[in-house]
Amino acid sequence: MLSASRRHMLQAVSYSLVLLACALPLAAQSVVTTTADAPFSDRRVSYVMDVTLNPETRGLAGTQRITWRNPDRVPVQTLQFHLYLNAFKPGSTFMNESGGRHRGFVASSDDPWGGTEITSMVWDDADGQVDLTDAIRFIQTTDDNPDDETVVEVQLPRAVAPGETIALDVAFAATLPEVVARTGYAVTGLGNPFFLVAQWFPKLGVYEIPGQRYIPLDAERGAWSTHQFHAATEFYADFGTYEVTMRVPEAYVVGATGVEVASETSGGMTSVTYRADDVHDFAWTASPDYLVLTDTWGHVEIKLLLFPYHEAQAERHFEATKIGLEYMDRWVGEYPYSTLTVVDAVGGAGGMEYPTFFTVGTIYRHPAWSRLLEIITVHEFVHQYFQGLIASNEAEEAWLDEGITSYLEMRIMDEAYGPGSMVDVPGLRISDGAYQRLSYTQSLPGRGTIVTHAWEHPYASDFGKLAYNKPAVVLKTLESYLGWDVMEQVLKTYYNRWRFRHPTTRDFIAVAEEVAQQDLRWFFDQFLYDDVVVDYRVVSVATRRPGDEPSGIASTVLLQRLGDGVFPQTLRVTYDDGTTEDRTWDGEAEWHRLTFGGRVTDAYLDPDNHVWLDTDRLNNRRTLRPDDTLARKIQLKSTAWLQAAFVAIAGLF
Amino acid sequence: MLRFLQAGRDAAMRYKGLALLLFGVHLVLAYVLTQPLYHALDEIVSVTGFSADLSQGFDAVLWVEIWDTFAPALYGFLGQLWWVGLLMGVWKAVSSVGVLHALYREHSMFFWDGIGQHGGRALGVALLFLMTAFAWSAGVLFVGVVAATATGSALGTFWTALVVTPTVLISGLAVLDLMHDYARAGLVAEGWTVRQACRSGLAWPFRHGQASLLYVAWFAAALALLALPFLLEAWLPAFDKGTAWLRFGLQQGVFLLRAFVTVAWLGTTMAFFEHIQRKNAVLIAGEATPGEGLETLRMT
Repeated sequence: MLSASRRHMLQAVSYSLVLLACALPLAAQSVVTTTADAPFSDRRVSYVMDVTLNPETRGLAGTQRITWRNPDRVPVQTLQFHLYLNAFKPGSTFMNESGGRHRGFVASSDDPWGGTEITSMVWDDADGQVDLTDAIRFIQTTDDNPDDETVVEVQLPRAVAPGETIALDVAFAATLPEVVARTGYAVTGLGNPFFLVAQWFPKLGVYEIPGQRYIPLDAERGAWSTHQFHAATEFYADFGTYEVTMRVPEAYVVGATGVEVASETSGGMTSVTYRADDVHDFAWTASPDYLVLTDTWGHVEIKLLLFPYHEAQAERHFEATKIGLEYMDRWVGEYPYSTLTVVDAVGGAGGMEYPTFFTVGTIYRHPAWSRLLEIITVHEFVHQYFQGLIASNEAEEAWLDEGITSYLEMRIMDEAYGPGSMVDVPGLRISDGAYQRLSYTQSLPGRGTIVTHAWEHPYASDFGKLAYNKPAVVLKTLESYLGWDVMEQVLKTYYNRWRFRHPTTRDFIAVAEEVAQQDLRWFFDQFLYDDVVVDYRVVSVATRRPGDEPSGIASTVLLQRLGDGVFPQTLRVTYDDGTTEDRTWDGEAEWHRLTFGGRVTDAYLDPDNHVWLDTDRLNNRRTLRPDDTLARKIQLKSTAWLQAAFVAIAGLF
Repeated sequence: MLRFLQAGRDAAMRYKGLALLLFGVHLVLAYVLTQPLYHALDEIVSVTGFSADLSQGFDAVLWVEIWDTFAPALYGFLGQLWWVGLLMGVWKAVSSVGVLHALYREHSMFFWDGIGQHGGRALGVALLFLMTAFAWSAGVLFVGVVAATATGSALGTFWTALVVTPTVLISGLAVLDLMHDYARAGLVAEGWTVRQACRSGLAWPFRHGQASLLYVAWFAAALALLALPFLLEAWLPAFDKGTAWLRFGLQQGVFLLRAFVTVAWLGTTMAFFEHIQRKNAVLIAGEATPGEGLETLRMT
């Protein structure tokens, strides 16, 4: 916990900044939202928005002024927008695919639905204002569901010239759904309203130009990438600037993407304005129950919005956030923003990332031995980089954000919290790494490939494995193969080259091969683009007395590749005198026999546990000296437990 | 109060064989039942060479892979527990009257005679108390679930589901256990029928408040001794077979002590019962009909 004096000092500084901000006209402000003087991104879009929250109706009434610059070398005649909240209407693709359930959360109220409607859209053109409202039509970009209204297209009366920036004035009305997936309203543990206002405004899709992502460089023109909202897809948008004024009832506390630049209360309502530069989304939260706690790490002010009944866990949240900042700064690169808002969310709103803002989730009296709180916090913070800064298309290549994030989350957790980084009970320590590995190896590891559009997985239940766990295991195996020093350089190079842009799997592979200075297609083709399974085993260890062996004794070890995946292997044998010898094998043949001079007692494949992709590690080892220590230990332990159970049961009779 | 506790302790010291018998039955049965676990694990792990590593520390990845093969053996073991639990219940019911019989009036009466004389009725009483315990548990859990749901908040659910409900549940079961002990004492000392024993047992703590204090005293000691074997596992990690056996030996020492506490607890129960029996006999001397028990006396 922060000391009271330190908290007061930080609050005083915060209040001074707010007063200073209020005293300046917003348009002329020099608010520090990033660590750079010049823009980090190419800022193709900007949003100035004003929105009022009506808690009674869960309604949002908003206006927005959107600017968009045509990045193509040819004129563009149409615009496309996401209306994500329409996913929470009956019949939407999201509802059809998810059945209204997301990560185990399901709506329970009589009217859980949400939606949004553009009530007017005016193009503020140089020649005068043009009403585009009637030109708006729903389109389906990834399926033929006519009831899906998550994407709209607007046909412009004239094309936008290359490099031209246009401005639109939009008015919209939205209803927030009951929180099931990431956004909406819920009730706090104190019985008061909670709102996570995310995916809430009409938002431009990404117009991809030739050479960007998978549009060929020699293509005639670019194209919009505006996916419908599917059950398993997340988001993709251009970088830009946001300035948003949110009006909420006076008692509400607000937290949002970016930096607070103004706050005013009158007539029972509070207006809070936030500004964020070089971000690709804007989310906010409001509840009358929040405690606001602050801390700093380097140049970053961390604001923690916590419910009072979780206050005892404040230090855990801060510690995990700072651990995330520390390790990501060291392993990947600088966090370029000046603020970070960590939000204690309710139910399905927890565990979601937005630029400079993420939600976590905890429970009342969350036990210290469970690190779920820390895992969620670290995971969502890592997303500030992989998706927040390196804005890959989450719908098409979810592994680039979820997978790399899971890998780094696991690495940070295991490094910072040790072998009990997930569960830390004496005698039962489970690491985050073990969890990731098992989540892959124990969930039909041969089904599905990582590089798959999120809405095209034949089995929806495979999404978690293929977007999160398997990529984490693949990258950990790659790290073991290349060495951490090389892997660290891969991450740093990838970050420095692609931050504030939209890289693809191809771009990640290119960086890895460039840094490692070797052809890694054999690796990525198998484990990103295919569904092969790695499993090697020691079949037998045998000792014999061949005539041509000077020592009189020779041993053979028979190895087998059980899976269709190939990975180089190391075999360590132990001789009867305790000495060891390592041999390598390219792992390609189905069977492989090795001969050793001397009496081998133990053969161990992958003794340093490098190949996390191996789906069955138990068969990696064979000994000629059976040892019943474990079996006896477990039996004695079970006997004692059973005796205790007998005594306890006796109390009932 | 102290003299009843001392009487219990003295009884346990005097009848060491009873404690040894109670301890031995549990130990032999538990060891025999876990033998298949040993063989299953031995077959799976011993030849892999991972046995020593897994004894040093928990490896979730290897254990999950072991689980695939080990699970059937474990399920087989767990599947036997229902009848073993029943058997232990029957044993507890009859052995308790055996011990009480042996301790009654400080006569060296034979444990097995007690089982022979009172075992049948003891089982009847145990069945009724077991049904009462189930009814109590079901009622408390039902109310607990309703209350936890009605609170509608994380705080309310936490306190209702994880604190209040278990506390009420366990407290109620402890009170029933106390009542059961005195019902059994009446079976032995007064030859009560099953119905008389249950009725008097249920009334006992309300009529004799000191009985609750005596129960709590032994309950605390018994609980501490029950926790000790688990604490030993935390304090003394077994990395090899020698340490595993050493720890097991220390645990057995605790369980033996726990068996002595059982005998002492019953000794205190019987001493207190006899005290009340004598007191009532003096108060209504001459009014008793030979052969009728304490309950009959109280009702006249």
